[in-house]
Amino acid sequence: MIVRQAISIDNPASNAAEAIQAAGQALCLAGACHPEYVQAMVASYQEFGPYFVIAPGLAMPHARPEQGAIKAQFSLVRLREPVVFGHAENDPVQVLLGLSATSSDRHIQLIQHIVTLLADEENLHTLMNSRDPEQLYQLITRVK
Amino acid sequence: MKILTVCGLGMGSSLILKMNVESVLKQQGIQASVEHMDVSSAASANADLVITNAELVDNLRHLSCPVVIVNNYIDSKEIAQALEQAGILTRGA
Repeated sequence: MIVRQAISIDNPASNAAEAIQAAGQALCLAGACHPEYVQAMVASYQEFGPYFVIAPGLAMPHARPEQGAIKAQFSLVRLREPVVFGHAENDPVQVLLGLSATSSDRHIQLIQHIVTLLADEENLHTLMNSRDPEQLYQLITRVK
Repeated sequence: MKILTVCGLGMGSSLILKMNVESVLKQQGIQASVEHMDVSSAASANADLVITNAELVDNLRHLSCPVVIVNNYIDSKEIAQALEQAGILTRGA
């Protein structure tokens, strides 16, 4: 689901593209995708806009499986300063869940895991506010 | 009844929205099939209702079925309101 290397809590990013790159690079570092997948994540934002900002302050950028995904995994990136993505309701973004989407059953399981995680208000509060990577890692791995 | 949740690539946020729409419908005891799709496929799909967000709604306005907006995909209240607006849930249910 997530490995410790894919959690990064103090990322400097001055715009949406840099923030998405940080989420993608965390996936790369964890061996979940190739570098071209990260470029595809940014290209998807440029093509479709910030629709993937799914809740206030929370974005879930990803690309297509065939664009360099290796295995279904998340990264969790917290920005040093919130960044405007251009979303009418949910700006600015502080936390990104980068998704390496493989379109397999594993990928569906991963999304289900995140839905369960975000459905609990206390979990959501921790996810959006914690600056402790260990706490975030425990939170994500604890949810079943 | 067929409901479509729509996002840019059809495999991330539309899937989250699908799961949360299903959960709201289940709570209300309403039967419907909910599918998730990318915006270009959805443009020619047959559905009774399309749910997407404000960023993509302009791409789908030409559809003959109702198109409603949800911006916070993890807020079951906002999802319930969108389903009320579409006449699928009764108000105050």
